[in-house]
Amino acid sequence: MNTLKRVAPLLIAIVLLLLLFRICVPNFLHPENLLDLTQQISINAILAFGMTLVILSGGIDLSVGALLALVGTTTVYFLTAGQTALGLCLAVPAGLVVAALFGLGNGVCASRTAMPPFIITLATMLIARGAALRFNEGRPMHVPDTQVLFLALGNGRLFGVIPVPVVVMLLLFAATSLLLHRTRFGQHLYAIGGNREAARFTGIPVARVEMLVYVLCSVLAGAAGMIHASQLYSAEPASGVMFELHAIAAAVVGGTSFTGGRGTMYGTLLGAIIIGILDKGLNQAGVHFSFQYIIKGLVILGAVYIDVRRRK
Amino acid sequence: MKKSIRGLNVLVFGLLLVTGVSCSKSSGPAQEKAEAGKGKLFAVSFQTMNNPFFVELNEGIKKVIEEHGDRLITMDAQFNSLKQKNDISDAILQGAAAIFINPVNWEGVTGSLKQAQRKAIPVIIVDAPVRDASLVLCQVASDNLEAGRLAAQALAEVNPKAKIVILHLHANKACIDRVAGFKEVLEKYPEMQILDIQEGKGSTEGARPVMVDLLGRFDELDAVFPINDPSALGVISALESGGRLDDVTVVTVDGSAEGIAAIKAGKLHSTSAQSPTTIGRIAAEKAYEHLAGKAVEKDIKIPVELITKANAE
Amino acid sequence: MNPAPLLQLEDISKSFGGVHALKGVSFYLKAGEIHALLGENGAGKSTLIKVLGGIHIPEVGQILIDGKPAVIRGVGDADECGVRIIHQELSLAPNLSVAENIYLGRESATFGILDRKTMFRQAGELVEQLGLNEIADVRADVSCLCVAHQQLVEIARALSSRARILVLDEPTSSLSDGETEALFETLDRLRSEGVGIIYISHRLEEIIRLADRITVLRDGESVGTQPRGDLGRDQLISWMVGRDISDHFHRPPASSGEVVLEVKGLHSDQVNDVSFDLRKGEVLGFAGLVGAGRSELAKAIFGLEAGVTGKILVEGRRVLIRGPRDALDAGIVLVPEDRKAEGLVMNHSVAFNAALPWVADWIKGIFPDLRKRNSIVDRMIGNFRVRVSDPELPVETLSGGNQQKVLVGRWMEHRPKVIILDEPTRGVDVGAREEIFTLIGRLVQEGMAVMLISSDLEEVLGISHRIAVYKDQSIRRIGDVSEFSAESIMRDLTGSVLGTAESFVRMRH
Repeated sequence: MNTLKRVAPLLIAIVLLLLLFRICVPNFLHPENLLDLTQQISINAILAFGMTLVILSGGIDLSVGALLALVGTTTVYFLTAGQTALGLCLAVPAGLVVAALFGLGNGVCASRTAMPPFIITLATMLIARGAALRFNEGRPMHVPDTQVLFLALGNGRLFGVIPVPVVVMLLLFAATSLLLHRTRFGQHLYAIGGNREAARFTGIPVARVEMLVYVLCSVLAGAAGMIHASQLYSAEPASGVMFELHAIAAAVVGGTSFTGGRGTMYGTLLGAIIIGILDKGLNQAGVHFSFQYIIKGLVILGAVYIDVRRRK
Repeated sequence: MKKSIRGLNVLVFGLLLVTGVSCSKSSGPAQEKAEAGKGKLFAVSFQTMNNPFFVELNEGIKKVIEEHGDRLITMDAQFNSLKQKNDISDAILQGAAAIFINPVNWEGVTGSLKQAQRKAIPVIIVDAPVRDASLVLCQVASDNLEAGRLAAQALAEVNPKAKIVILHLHANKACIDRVAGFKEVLEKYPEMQILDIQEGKGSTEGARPVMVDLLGRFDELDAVFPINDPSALGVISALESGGRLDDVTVVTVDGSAEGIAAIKAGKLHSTSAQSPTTIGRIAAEKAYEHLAGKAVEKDIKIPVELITKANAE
Repeated sequence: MNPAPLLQLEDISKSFGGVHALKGVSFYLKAGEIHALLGENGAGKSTLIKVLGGIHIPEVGQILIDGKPAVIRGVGDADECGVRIIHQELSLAPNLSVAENIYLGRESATFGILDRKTMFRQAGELVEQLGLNEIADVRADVSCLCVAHQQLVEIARALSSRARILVLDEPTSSLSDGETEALFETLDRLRSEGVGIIYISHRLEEIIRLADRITVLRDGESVGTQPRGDLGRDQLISWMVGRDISDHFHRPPASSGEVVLEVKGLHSDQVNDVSFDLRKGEVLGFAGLVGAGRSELAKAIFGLEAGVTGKILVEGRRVLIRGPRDALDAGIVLVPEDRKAEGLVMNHSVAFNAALPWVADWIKGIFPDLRKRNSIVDRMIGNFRVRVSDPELPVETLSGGNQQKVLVGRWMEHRPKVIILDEPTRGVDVGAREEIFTLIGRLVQEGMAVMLISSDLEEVLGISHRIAVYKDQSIRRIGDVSEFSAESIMRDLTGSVLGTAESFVRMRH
């Protein structure tokens, strides 16, 4: 009930956007177009789920975009290394381990030192980017055509209808929102974001929770990286630039407070959908790309303004 | 209170959309015609629009399409393969008649090409190639082999005994062709000699330090072939600071404004100019030929033009 | 053999970077007693409590519970030993509900999955059982509650599970008298149930009212423990400060001159049609309960509230106050309640803070005139006897009283006409309080008009010339101090002479 009330303006905005674009673009509401929309937002949404966790804890993770590239390249590197089956069994865990290690690094620095997360993750962003560019002299790495299963991750359709990335996105949404809204961990996360000292005084293992948050965010970025590589039939060391900012935008439009402690997974999903609709709608309405930037900037400003007003 | 905020919410989004839509409407007469229901929709996706080369290429396509009374949507992928994929998908689902793609990643577009193929929408690749050419209608690009040949020929005319170094961009297919064309001509001039081929990264910052090293290694060096204008500018800068600009001839490929300015200043001997506008025009014409049921050849090379001090303007 | 005391602290020492906060402190707590800890700010009370709560780990010494050594190396350990602490600074998560805060860190969950329904039900039962009706809506966000009610949430949290040792650090600093009395009743009940309670407060009346035994700390050492017995207020003070403090209130001589400030029909969201005037050389005390809206009135006069209507006249001339700059230009100064958040830049130097409002005086163009700045600072330090060895030391290293002097003193540079003091003695110790009263006396002598907001009735009655009783965002009664007594003010505020008023009278002496 409470959640519904909180996300109501987002739902209204979505309906309005859909209707308005329906006017400008004749077949905007065609099922196929909408299905494509969900597929287009999947990577950003998965990154935004992780980003929401981090922002809720009062932190920020700028390294997810670069990490997406690094995990993509690492995974594809191992995919090509072994035979088909062996490669796959090796590649996916290897990618996730790399992601988790980076997350652990971010988390240890953020929770055990006084360094601000903004700077920590700015640094690890550079490190991850550099590591990604070590692969194949920075050129795209081809996913072997024999890796059918891996290619299905980004391009397949469940029952021939629902794109696999969308299925993955929904599963991760269910998992992260359960974690955030239904578990002790989630409760502790909100407490830390709301008042770190209070959390410490009540015996919450602040450092451990924070560390786990960064690990989760990075692992989600890793999952997004694999989908990205699969969708593009290749891993791009130079990909993922600015993805962290789009993820932050989705979380913030969805009502996540930048100071931490406030925000929901539902909101973030809706925020990602709003940004997705804008991207698609403006593209299909033939709005010049220069205006697309301006409009998106204004929408983010507007959404945050409304959110701040509501809080008051 | 809550109601008024909700109202505000609606208002803000509404306003933004109206701005957006009105912006789109004000961008040209051809578009208005298309909105009225006439004309076909075309789309082009560039790897970046932050490069005059692609801006001109876009103009070339647009001119042809507007002459037919049709409409073109230009999309900027900002070097982001995922955005390019999404942009193309948007265009496909809108039922574009044909799509022009300048790929960010020559493999990354595979999914988009397959999607277009399923919908039977022809795809024309401009400037840079794709991995799987069987998925596209045709690829239109500068004749890079010829560009290399012209550069070598120009050099042979001023110095048939030149001792040459090449600053390559090994990863780039277009540059590989340029160097191949260059070497082809050199075979006719046995006295011309390539001292070394180094990676110059195709940029001013990348080429300059490499050239400084080369000057230290080869005293006899008297000609350089950097594969594009930006690296030529780096080479010139290195020659100037080494005091060797007067006795070393530089030939290159591109035809950018900076390159032409260097020719006029006497620092650069020649550049084999590409014509992005022509690439765009030919690409658009091929699309219409295909839609009219005519056969289109797969690989189209657009001629390049040698620019020296004589015709630089 | 005597049964071992519930809690024993033996020879506890703790230092922070060379500063000895605790030097071998020992004391014990019996089951079923309220043991007061007394001491000036910086005497080591809070550190001692944090040691007990597992937040600080002492270098030397041990803690025994029931005579057995207890290892308290973290908040969780303290919790397991049955130690519950209500810290001075509120430690709630404002973004969570009352119930979630009560059970924070101890949520009922199976395999990590929360059972919210049970949590809300249990919280509701607990709050009802403790009689904390103000927070009966356990689903409300804590950020929606006023400070006093937030304090109640802390208390509910501390009592939510079986506490053996309860520690309260200044629990009443933001409670009204009625709420304080409700808390005391709860504490009495817990005492009779055998809970050992450590109680820290600056308010000596409370200690006299509650404590069974009293331990005084001074400079990180225990001065001694005594049964309360017949210890009077003055004895307590001299024991605590180590010197005699004779009279607590010196009301400055009345010299009602001409009217300086006239407020006519001031109205906003937070202020309900307030009119009053203030004369040169007088102290007008605003008495009221926490949350009555007095700070908001002060902010409205100072131009910090939006949508204010009504007239403000300074020396008979109408002034338009759209922001603090206008108020300062008109000669009105506000010394805010929250020194840390609204008053001083804590990590910057005394000099920085003192010279901050007068930047325009000592930076002309782009070059700072440091000599001028230092003369401003020296004047302030000299005039107000701020005890600081070097004005370049951070202001946070000063005692509360000295911080307050910096905050007030820095405005004297341009001799304001009206000074609004919002809870100037909150959170400062007895010695500093006295200095602040002296300070107010000086301001009045120099012909300034003081608007004093205080929740301490004794204080308001002690130094004001006139009193305004403020309730529900408006003035209920205003008049000469001789017309008021604590009882009559309490009657105005609570609407009855029963209960709270009586308890207040009882508390006074």
